[in-house]
Amino acid sequence: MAIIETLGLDKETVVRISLFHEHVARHLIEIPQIDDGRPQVQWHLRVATSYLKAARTAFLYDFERAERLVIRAVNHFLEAEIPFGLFLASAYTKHRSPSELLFRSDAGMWLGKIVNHMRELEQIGKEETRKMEGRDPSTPSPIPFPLQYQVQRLYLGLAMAGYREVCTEYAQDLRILLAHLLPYGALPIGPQSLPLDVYLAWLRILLVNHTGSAEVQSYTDTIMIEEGPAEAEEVIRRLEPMALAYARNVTTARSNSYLWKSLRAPVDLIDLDYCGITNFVMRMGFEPGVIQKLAMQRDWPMEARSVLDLATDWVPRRDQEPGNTLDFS
Amino acid sequence: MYVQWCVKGISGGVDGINDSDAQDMLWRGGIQCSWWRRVGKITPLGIRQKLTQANLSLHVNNYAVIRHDTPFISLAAGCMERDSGLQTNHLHGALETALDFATDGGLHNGYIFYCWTIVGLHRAAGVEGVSERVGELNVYRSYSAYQTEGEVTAKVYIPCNQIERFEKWSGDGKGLVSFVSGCSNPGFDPPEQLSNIRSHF
Repeated sequence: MAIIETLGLDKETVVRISLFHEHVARHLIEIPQIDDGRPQVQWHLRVATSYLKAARTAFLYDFERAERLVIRAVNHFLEAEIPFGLFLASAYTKHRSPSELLFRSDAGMWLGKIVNHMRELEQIGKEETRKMEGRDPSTPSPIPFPLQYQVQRLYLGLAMAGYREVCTEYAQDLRILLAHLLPYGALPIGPQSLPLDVYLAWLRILLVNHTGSAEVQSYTDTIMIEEGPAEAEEVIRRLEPMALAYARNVTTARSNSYLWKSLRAPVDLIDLDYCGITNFVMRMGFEPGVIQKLAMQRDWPMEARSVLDLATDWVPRRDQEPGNTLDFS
Repeated sequence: MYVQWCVKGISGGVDGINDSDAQDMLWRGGIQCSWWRRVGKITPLGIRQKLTQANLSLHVNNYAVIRHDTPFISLAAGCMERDSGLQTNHLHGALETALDFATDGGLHNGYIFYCWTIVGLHRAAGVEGVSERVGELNVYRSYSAYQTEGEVTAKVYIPCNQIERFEKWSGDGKGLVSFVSGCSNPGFDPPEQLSNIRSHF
């Protein structure tokens, strides 16, 4: 059954609403809000949000269009220096070599800044101790403020860990980032407001599977994670919180048929985090059929399985298509 | 209390308003709640009975049930999702939300009114003089599901002197919306005159 039917939506309305949001984004682009000679971050976010709304509805009926819209949103997120854009780019780009794109992007520099910042903070902590002994502490060098948010740091980590070449190149810094994020596990994140810990598990899985090492490093400790590379069973178990939260939120939203039918329900029709992470999973070499079968065996609701099918079939299908020149740099 | 600039989208479809209605609202009539428009005449006692927390809850969470009988008026003020764009990244502009509701996602024409209203800092569903920021998580936690609409809920009536202008937008039936024309209000009173800054003599 097509996902549009599973969700009980009318295709004509879905197409119209997707076009509407795209037109709104284009309208906003015509009236940029400038501050100090540069477009405001808030303006970039408004445009990006409209493109993402258009993309989420487009995923229900036209993949090509949806991917194009995501990449347009990505350009605005990246202009605003928001790493979430890099996560979307990494998950949804159709470029023949996403790793190459990531190497060319600001990702490495951003990660370096975060790790350096953390290092400096730790150093200051030590200097605070020295201050008590009569010495002045230094102050950390400034860091772009989007990079100060734990959630943005996580999206950056996922974007980079999603591809083996990038993950291997930056493994050391990614391990430090993972260790740094561990204490923030309860922070709500993403369209379903799940604990950050659910996402962090994916950062760990990607790191372990791509680099073969189950080592997580902070400055003071090296933590060995007992689990080895994730198998299909663990993949589905780790995806389950996202899948079930999505299904529950969609089911709840459908109870208000006025908002649901007019596509104004306060829930993402397609959870781009859930789909994006599933994309990364498929790139680790899992068979779509195996993952889909396991979801069925675990009695996932139809809504969750429809989106999983959409996302798992995506990477193999896209890899068969000719590469295009869509770029996010 | 504070003054909030808002945007109100009103349908220009079959059951909606036309250019003449929009101009009349801007220059004379203001924006009335749908309950007032339906019954034609309302009373102070009626207003007291209608302005309840239960009706506000229905208005926000189950509009289909109360749409012809609501004393509330939904306005869009924009919303940084979960109050921090950089945590979850989405910024829902007031214009985008109002346009969606006014044109039904580009299905038909719509009118966008730019107005201001006074908003209370706490829940006060029964107080006619202030609007409710139902999308404010710190005030209306139970309504957080609809926070992304960035709703401010006005009560009963928005006087025309609080409406600066309206814009007419066309919808082509397939999602394309275009700005058609605008009309300003010569009788508009800017909210700055409510400023709490007083100069010395």
